[in-house]
Amino acid sequence: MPVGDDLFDKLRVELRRGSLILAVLGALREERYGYTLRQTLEDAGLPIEEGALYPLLRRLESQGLLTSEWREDAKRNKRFYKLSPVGETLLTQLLGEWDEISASILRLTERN
Amino acid sequence: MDLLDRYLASIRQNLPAKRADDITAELREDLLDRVEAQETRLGRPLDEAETSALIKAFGHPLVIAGRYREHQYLIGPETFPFYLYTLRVAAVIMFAMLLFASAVPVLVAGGDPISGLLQGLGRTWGALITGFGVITFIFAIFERYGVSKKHVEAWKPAQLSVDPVSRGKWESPIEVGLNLLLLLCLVGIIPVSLAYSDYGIHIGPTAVWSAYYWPIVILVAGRLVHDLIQWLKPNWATPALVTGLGTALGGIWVVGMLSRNGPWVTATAVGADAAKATQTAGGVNMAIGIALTVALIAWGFGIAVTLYRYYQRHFVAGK
Repeated sequence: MPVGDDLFDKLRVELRRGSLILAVLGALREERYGYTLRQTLEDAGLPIEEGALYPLLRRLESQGLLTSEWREDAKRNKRFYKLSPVGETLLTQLLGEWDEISASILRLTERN
Repeated sequence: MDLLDRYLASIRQNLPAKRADDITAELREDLLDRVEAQETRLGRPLDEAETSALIKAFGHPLVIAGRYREHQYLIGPETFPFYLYTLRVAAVIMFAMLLFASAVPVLVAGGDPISGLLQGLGRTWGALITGFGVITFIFAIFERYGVSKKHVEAWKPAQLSVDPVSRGKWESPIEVGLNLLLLLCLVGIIPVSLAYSDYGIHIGPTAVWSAYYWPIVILVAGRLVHDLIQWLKPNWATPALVTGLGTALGGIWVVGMLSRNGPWVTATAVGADAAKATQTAGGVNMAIGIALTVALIAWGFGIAVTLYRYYQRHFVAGK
């Protein structure tokens, strides 16, 4: 594989990593458990590193952005996560920030 | 216990105790969902190799468990530059101190300089590892309590040295290290014997050293303070001048008094020729006499340099 592709993959991972929290918060506007959340992110084009999702969910929950509860689903116990009211507010703010960043990048990269 | 249970048990061992059960239960459910999904695709149960591949893709138990820790770094990116700088300074100081300590017996009592140097390097290696371990421990504590972040927030550009290039980068750390070593030897924290016995001759210090012990200790301590000011507070011009001149004048007095009150060592024969002992004492006394004369000149030169630097900074800089 040419060196250029390696570098692109490395930088792409860094770029995507920065948007993961926003993606997780956005996906959890609807209640999900870990496995389905990971599938949703993958289907949306944002795969998350194996084993990285659950610690992230715990951290967001400890910060008050998510709520969770154990419930039985298809005869198995699963921990369901959902955005908290504080999480909703923060998500709105972060989406606004995201739009501003996106607009800034477009302005910077416009060809005259 | 099947492979999945063994994997989860390995993760659980390294999880925070209060949350271990909850986290392990959640991870178990996720892994079972993955197994189920793959079995549905294949239309059959997974074999051990396939289960092993699925677990391996999930991640090493220590890596998985580590992600649940509140602190992810022993020494994080904010602390690392300070840590690296401290390691480099410590390495230079320790290397200089140990080479100096290895060179003194060779210079005073003779012996093979190569083996003396190799012994010194051997001691240096052990001291470096111990030193680096202590520094790493201290900086791990700094990382834990955010000390580096607070230091960076409190930093002011006005604290930068007015004249950062007038002294070599390692000049101050080496001076601090050597003076610290000397002070620790003088106060007995590092035990050093001033007597030396070999080849049937015992060389020991005369009473003049006891008579001037406290002035020497005060002089070395004062010089250490001066070196620390020059290194850590390069903009404290007046304190540097006061301590520099004070210790230089004190040094000239001490060295002058020592010079006038020789001899400085005596030698006694222990089963060897008495004439040889006298000759050895004479040689060592001559060497010490020369060293004291050089020290007098060095202190005098030090006064001139200190005054010159003060004059440069306060009367020439900015014109």
